[in-house]
Amino acid sequence: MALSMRDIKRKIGSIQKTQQITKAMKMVAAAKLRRAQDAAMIFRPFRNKLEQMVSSLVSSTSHHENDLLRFRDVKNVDLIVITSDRGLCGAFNHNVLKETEKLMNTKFSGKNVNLILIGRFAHTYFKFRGIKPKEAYSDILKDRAEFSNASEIMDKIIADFLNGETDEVYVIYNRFVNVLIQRVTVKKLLPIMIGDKVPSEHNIVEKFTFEPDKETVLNELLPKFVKMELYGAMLESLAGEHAARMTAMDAATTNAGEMIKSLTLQFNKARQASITKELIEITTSIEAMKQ
Amino acid sequence: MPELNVSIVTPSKKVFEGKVEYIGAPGKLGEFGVLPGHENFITVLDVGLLEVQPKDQEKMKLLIVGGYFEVTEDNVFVIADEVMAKEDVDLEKAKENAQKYKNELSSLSFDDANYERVRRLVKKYESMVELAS
Repeated sequence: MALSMRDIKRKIGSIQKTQQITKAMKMVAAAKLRRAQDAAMIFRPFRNKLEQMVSSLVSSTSHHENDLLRFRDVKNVDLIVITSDRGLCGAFNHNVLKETEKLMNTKFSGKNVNLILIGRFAHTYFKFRGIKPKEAYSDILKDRAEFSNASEIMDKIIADFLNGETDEVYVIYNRFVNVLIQRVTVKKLLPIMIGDKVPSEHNIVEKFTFEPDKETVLNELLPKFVKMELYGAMLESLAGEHAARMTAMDAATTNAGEMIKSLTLQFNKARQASITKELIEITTSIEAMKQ
Repeated sequence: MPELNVSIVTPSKKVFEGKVEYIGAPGKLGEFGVLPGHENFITVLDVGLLEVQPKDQEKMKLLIVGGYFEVTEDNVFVIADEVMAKEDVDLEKAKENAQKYKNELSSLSFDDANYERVRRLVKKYESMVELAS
């Protein structure tokens, strides 16, 4: 018997306390998840409509017509990495960060990669590895994602893109599929590309008239669209974070329960052993006294 | 009689979806109305009131802030940053704000960087007052 009864009892007590905490955290995450999930779900139809609108616009526009659509030789790449501010959510952050590193070493090796980090986790991770981010934001994804934040971040990126400092912009985030699954997604934000079709000069059909003119509409709609894409990614990531935390805490609670069970068994065994030992001692001493 | 399929969405909710006979919106170059059979077009909206006339129902008025308007073969998409119905407006507060930003606007010159932003705010609160009263 490795542990004394008292030790086991103390251990059970501490695990029970941990279990209480993880259970509470699971509840909190579940409540937050509901809100974040609602926000993300309501945003989806909006995003799809906007994408439809942009895609019908883009399909009737040559990519030379607007700077945000223009392709060029890629030398500088901006990666927007969305992670959480807080931990205890399983592999949620790790998956995104691993994917980012993989991209930096494969697809974008030889290119100048600039990181724009959202969430404290990404910041700490790359700081530890000696990679200095171009921008780092934390504490903006707490209980809800704010469009104004997304807009601010994107304004800077759009400005960099327009003055030629960056040639491509990607966002890497966890997409909320369901409570159990968050899929790491890499999405190209700039230059704007809808589907796989590259608009060329030949297949342009003027389906629409523009009011006041095409230029104005494109200039209003396209920046808004990329901002909305980032905002959507933030919403999805937030919902994913709470889902991941909820699953992680649920697993932790179950594990704690199992540990308590096995420790209780150990405790009972130890108790039984000590009772048996005492009985043996008593009976042997009685036997000894008889003689 | 042909009808328009209208859907109005914002990032936080789906405001309206259904068949209407007429929709009027505040365009950048002035208000316009769309009836069934309208030519396909896309435009940018100003801050202002959107009028929707569903069939056999009362006319609906909505305040719209920062939006796009698309017509494709009698399908109308309105995408906006913010949409408010009459019930969402606090009249007193709107009046107060309208006055406040109007004063601010009159102190700004036409080429001030904030002019456009404040003008939109004035328009927003004035439209709110118009909507609620």
